Amino acid sequence: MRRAPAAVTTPDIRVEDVSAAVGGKTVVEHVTLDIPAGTKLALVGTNGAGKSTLLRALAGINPAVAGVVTFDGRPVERIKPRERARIISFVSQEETPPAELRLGEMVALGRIPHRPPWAVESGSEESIVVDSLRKVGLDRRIDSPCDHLSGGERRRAMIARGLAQQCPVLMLDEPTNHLDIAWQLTLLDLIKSQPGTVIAAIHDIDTVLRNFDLVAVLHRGRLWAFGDPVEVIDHKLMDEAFEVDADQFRHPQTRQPHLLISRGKDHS
Amino acid sequence: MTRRRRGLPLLPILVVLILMGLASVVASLAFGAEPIPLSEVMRVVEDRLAGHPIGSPFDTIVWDLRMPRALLALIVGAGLSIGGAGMQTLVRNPLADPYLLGISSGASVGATAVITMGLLGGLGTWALSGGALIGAMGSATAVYLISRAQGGLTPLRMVLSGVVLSAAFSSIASFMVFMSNDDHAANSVMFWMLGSVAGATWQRLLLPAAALVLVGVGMLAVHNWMDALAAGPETAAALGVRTGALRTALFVALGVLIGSLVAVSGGIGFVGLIVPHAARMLVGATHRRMLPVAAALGAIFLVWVDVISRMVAPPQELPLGVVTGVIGAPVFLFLMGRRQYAFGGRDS
Repeated sequence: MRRAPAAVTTPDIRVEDVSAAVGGKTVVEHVTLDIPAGTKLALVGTNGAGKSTLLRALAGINPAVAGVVTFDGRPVERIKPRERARIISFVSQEETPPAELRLGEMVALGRIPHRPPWAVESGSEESIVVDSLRKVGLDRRIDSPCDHLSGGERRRAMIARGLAQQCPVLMLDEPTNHLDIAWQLTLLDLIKSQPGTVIAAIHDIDTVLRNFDLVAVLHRGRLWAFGDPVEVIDHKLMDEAFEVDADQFRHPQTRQPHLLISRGKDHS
Repeated sequence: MTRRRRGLPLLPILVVLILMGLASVVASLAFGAEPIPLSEVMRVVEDRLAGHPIGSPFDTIVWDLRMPRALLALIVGAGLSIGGAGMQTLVRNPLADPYLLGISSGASVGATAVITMGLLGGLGTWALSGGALIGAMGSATAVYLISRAQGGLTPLRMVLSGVVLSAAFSSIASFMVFMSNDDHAANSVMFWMLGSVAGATWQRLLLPAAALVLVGVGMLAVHNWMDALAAGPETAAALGVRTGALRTALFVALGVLIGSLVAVSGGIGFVGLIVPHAARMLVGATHRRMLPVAAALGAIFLVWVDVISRMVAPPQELPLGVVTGVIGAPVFLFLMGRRQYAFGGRDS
């Protein structure tokens, strides 16, 4: 039997002129991004801007309809699914696990790419599972059935599954959804502390300013802006891409950048 | 280290269930139109297994009539249970049963054609099984092709095509019965549809036993992937599982398994729906734990269902589907009422 390589190095990711479709309809086109190893990248955009679709294309789950995504020069669709799942850990927006599956068993699913389909969870994998659950504060609930979790707890559990997969690239679709404010901040710290690359589709642009190295703004099916969040997110961009009046301010004590959103455009 | 408590321990449960299964088979041999003392049953079984000369006057009844029958009940019970579990995973629906893909109604078209029109007469006693097998494979293939053509083997498409084709095939079977001149035909068709293991012979065990072992071992060999598929297609894809290939393989495997079971025993209901849930309640939802327990539970259940079917109104035998329905419905309602078990999802 082939042994899985113990540690995969964090790859540089290149997105070249990628178009991605959902249900046969192209929703994002001509996206080009350079994501150096270890970068924390936020994908932002209005509802339906194509964040999830692009993320799935980057993860190789729904292949891009045009263009190419490469990991250290290798096109993602040429990487075998199991090897891909040892490089990219993808946590989708919402997928309900079977109700009777216990939390520990659900998080242990993340170990599947690391062992043959017939193999049983090993002792060291069990400690990886416990460790991942501890990071999202659910280690005491390890034996709870998944349907006993609240929406926010389920979100954290799914993220724990992604962490247990132990990949150099973590892709999260709206990881802070359903989370209370304290857990949102904890999760953002967790993202920042990841040794590898993290790509997250996210709605809260204010937090992007302080927690991500790069931001990609999707608007009208295109990449509207890409770069350092503090430089990219300004009044003009917020007006164009989100139709709100917003400005960056520095926190008087911490000197950290914050986004103050003063007024929404009339939606009618 | 957090202490793990994942339901009951697997190995002791399996050992107990397997011993219970073997004991059930032997005990069941004593029951029937001609009651045989358990001591005589044991003597026949011992003599046969040890290769001694046959001394008991009950040898033929016990070894040639009742033993294959008990073993067929065992195989069919185990097969329907893992078939139901596999189907529930394939379509991600806790209400799925093994016949979801139109296999039983397709088989009933084949069997009805044999009964009413005397098709496949050349196969002799195998004609009924042959007709059912052809019908089952035909309908499974139709569901497969229709789902495929309409955009892939997604759970919803498979369920819808299966339900629609089941209804269509049932109509065809009913039409054939209706048009038949043979008054006896309706009775035979109904008895066949409700299922029975009365026709068991040693030779007839081979096909379902082979299908059970192959599919059972196959599903256990990819139990991790089955867990991933049950968690959802996107999760499975993220975990590096080729969901398309896995679904196709599972579809074919279930078609072959259920097709061969239906061919030898008709359409026995309820077992494949309830037993997987009972197994999940005992040992949890992961396939490595649930599949073997479901197989053992289903096997024991059907052995005793067959005993009941021949004890209730001798010398008449009830179809097994009648007994499983009468026992199964209250059991299912009881399980539904338990708060600890959510049947795959919780109502709000």
